[in-house]
Amino acid sequence: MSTINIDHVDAGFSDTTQASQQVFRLGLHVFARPGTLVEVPSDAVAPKGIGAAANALLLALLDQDVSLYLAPQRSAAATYYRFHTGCTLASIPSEADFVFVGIEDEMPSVETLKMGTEYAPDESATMVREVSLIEVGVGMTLTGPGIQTETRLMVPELDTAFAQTRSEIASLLPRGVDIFLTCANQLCGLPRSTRIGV
Amino acid sequence: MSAVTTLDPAINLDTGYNFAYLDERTKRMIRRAILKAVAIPGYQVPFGSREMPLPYGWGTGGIQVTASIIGRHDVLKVIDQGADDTVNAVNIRRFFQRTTGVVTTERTVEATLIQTRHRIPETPLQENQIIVYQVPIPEPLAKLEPREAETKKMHGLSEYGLMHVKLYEDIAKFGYIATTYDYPVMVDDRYLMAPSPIPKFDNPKMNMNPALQLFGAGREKRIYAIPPYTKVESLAFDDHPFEVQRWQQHCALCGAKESFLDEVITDDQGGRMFLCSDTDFCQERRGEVASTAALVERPLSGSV
Amino acid sequence: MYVAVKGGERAIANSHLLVSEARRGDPAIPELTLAQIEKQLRLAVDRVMTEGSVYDRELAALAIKQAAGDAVEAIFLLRAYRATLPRFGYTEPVDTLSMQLRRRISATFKDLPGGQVLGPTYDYTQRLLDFSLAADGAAVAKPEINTAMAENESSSVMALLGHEELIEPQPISAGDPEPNDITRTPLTFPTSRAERLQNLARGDEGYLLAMAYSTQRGYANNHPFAGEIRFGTVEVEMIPEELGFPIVVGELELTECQMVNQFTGSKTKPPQFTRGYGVAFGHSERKAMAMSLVDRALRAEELGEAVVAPAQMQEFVLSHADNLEASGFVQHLKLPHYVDFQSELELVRKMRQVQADQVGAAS
Repeated sequence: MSTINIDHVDAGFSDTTQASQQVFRLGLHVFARPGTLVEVPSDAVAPKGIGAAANALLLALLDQDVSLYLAPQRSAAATYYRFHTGCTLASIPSEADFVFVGIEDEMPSVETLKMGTEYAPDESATMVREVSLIEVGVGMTLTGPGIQTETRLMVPELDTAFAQTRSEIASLLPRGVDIFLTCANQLCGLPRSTRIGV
Repeated sequence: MSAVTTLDPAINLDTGYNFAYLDERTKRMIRRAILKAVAIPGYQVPFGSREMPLPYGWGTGGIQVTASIIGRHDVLKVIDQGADDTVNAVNIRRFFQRTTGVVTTERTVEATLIQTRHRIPETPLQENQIIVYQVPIPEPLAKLEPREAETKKMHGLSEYGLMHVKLYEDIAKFGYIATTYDYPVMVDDRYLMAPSPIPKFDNPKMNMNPALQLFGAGREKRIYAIPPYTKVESLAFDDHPFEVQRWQQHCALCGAKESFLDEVITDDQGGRMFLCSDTDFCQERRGEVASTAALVERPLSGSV
Repeated sequence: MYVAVKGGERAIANSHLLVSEARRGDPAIPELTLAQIEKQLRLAVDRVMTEGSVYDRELAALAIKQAAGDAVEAIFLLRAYRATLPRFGYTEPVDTLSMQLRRRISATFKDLPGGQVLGPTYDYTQRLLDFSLAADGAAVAKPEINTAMAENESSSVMALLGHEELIEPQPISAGDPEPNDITRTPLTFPTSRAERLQNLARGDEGYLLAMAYSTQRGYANNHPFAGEIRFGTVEVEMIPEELGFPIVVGELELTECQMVNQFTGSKTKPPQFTRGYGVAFGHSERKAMAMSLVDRALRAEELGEAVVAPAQMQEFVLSHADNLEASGFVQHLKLPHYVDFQSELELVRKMRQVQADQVGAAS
């Protein structure tokens, strides 16, 4: 990896140990209860175009053992995560363990991401998707593990094309991709086990 | 936090270790495994289990899971056989007191995080509680097929005929299924899962439980999970429905009839008595716990 | 009347005091120093380092002292210490050909370049208790010759056989990928040889010895010959990212065993001997030799041999080789299991009742 000019890297967590635990715990909470919205506290300075929640999540979960895909224009963010977490950078989404997609980034097709195998479905990508709005109680219906009866979720970026692709890959379960939805400091989970209806 | 009860003398935070003992990179690896486990309910995620300062087989999987999720504001309860005062429970609680300084409790209702060996508390678990099970053998098929290369295929194909045959052979031989603990369950209609050696009495508690259930097997290097409100079904046949243990006796201390009872030998003349295995449940019923003021409203699951 | 058992914390604390007292023994006897353990119990130190997967003689000596000489307990202490240490990087492969030799023997040739160097070994001692050691302070006679050999003076037996292609070349996986680190990513079956060798290197010596022995008694016959066993010092090199070339960061003592085994061949491929490999920290010939036999047995599938014996079964051998895992799980039976036992008790009573009722109804 090329050397990093640390003069131009923004600050990560001031207390990595405690902040990572808190952010992970919120991530665990929303993955275990899809459709629940939480606010993520973070004192890290996020790279431009990456919301506080998405940034905190990436800072908390990445390290030398995993790779991250960022849209090609996000070179400052690439330097930032390389520096703070030691993660490697994937040049194409299909090779990445973590895929960040910003509002203005092109959304890679979910079916091209790592989905694991039927024997090792865990060897799959986790997507962190920054969106313009997350509204709970309206929109598509969510059912499945973590949801007592059903819940509703409205996200403008997750359009009918997304719903179509996701219902297609749902037939490949347990293979799949797990998604964190973020909007500024808000965080919501959409693991593969969640069934989406319209 | 004075309202929280604890049975141990003060144990001070040992600042010579990282918070919760594990190094940050190990925690991240385990946290990623836990997230995948939650996303694929009942599937055993392999993880790079570390040697812990407690022996394999003594709760190292549960300890690694707990160490990776615990935060400063958690209230921890540790039980073994349903009791807070058994040596293994005492030792593990002590480990977390030393390495995290968190508040511990014996009371199920006060805990945000419960690590357990062999029981699920009688007091129903709540939303925002997490229960961590210590698991010796995570593979439900291991007794029938010890080769992981083979069981991996069965899980991949959701091909569990072997287990059904075994249970049916029990019925043919004994008239009923002769498995009393670690009784296999199906999670979300997809994965056959070992519930850890809890008595089958506790199996129904797993179904649609509001709490998050995490399972750690350190020696076998696997983590798995049941999210809240997830269907968990104990295997059975139409003509042989699943049944749990019931006792003729009731608890000699609190009179409970509906809890899991331990048989205690009182003399060498065949004298015996029955007591609740869940010591907190029994004490609460006897009113032995000093009435506690309402706990401080706690943010999400120990996070701030 | 039943009294609920309380005060587990106090009982545990007291147990700690008792074990410390038992470890120290009679205070009238001088306490062991780490230097004494390190220098005078060197083979115990070597085993603890090998299976503890940490090369540090002083820490191993400390572990042995703390464990009152129980090797498996000492290995446990070292492993637990190692588990959460930060990892700075990976060294280059050590070059055992340029080992500073203290001992090198081959059973396959009477003599060979560099010679047979017996070095420090119990092999040719007569196993008679030496009562002179019972007395303190007996001076040790200086050996006549310095057994240390000059670097590169000896070529390896495997290379000698390799010249004629009589032995298979060192098998390297397609593309020579970075080996998977089994302490980070758990084994999944089937395993690569690199993973198997890592597992065997930290595996229990007694267990590997028994497995290796079984292969000699007909349970997967390897037809082994001790091609070469060497013990000595090797240099350890790392390539720092900022330098880009290797620098020596230290040296360590190793024992290496190259076992020459059962040949293979076919109509198209001329017969060749095959290899089994063993290595251990310090001076641990029993371990290195046992490992090389088991390694060879585990190559059965790769070499097209029928897998018929326990020592050839990857999952069986590798899943049970670690003495921490084995010792922990066997001894966890000491923990309370009364809830499960209660469940079984209830079931057995019920079964007996059903049977008694049936017998009663029949008569």
